Amino acid sequence: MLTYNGSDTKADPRDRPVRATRRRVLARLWGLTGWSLVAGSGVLLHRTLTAARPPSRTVSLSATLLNQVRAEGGLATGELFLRFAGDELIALRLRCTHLGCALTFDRGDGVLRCPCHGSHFDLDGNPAVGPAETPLERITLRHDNGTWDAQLDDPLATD
Amino acid sequence: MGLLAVTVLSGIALVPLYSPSQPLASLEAIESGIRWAWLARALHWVSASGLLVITLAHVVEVLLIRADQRLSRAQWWRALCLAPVVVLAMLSGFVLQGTADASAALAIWRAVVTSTPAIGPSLARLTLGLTASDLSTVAIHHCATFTLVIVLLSADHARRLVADSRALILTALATLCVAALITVPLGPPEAPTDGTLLLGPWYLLGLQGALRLWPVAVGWFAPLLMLAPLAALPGSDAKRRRWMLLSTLALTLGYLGLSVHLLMVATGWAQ
Repeated sequence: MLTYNGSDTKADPRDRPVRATRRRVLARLWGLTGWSLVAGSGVLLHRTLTAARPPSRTVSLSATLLNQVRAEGGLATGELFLRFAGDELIALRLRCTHLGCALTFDRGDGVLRCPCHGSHFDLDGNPAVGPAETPLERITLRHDNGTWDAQLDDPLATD
Repeated sequence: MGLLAVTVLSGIALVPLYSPSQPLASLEAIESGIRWAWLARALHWVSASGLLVITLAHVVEVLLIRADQRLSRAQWWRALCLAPVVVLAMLSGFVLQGTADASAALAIWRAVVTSTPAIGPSLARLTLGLTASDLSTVAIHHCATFTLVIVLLSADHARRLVADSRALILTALATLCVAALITVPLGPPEAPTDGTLLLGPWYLLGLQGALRLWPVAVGWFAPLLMLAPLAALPGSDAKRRRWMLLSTLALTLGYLGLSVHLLMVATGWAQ
């Protein structure tokens, strides 16, 4: 056998045929048991993590906030972008559909911008400039006794 | 190993001062509210950055002097795994800052891990936590898991740390000097609204650039692609070895090109 610098070395003892002794068989069995335990733990962990779901939250939109939305023509608050289209209140999640970065509202240009990779969305949530290709998530609002509630599932719950 | 020791010790000093539930407030306290805490943070940042640079430089050195051929397959793969684990440890440290760029990096990291076939969502929950706003899982992995894995992977070098204490002291002194002279960068608390791009850490700019152009899977596929030719080196003949090294060089240059392109986009020099 030749090594990297060209010098002769002895044949690798691992190349010789291996006899199946009791010790070797037991060592194999131990190895197999160990790897089975590792694989079993992995499956258990995977199932536990798949079953775990982050809790959803309800955000109440106050009358003051909605008046501000109406007055300013659109407002970014927390994870939501709110605006009125006629009498209809539209709520979009400020989360880029490309890779999940938080969007910012550029009032001057009237767009929602992703500061990570430069995507733009119009105020209806449709992508205007890539790399994002799908529209923003529209949050369903519940109107109850004069207040509006937004049900926010954690983004990870949709994985 | 000296840089690793400084990183771990300065990290231990920062642990009681940092709160994952109030990352920005605790960072402000570290920077200005607690005497000498800024130096511990600067030491941590300088030594960790140095560790990544030295790790990559060491891999290049090993390849140049062909020392990899004296290593067993397991030793070589352990050494190769060290670079991505150091990157993950540094990325988790970056994310823990809680600034706008850190939050963006966490969102992208989660999207990339989630896109891994079959195990993606579980892996994302395991490494980054259940909820997008909770940094405690990342903090635990940064302080414990990644540190432990780095120590285990660099165990082959540990004997030198004990034998060469002068080098260790010299490294600590040099790191201290640099840390005292520089200001550790801290991203903006809020994302800009004027279209300016938030940039990730310097070592991941190429990946950020790649993610602008290609699907999210490039986030885990590209690092694997870069490591694959090096992982295949053990047992290669001279011709195959040359091809593997040229492939790695081409991929590295491509990565640097993507980093430069992203910087040009961020500064308005390119679209």
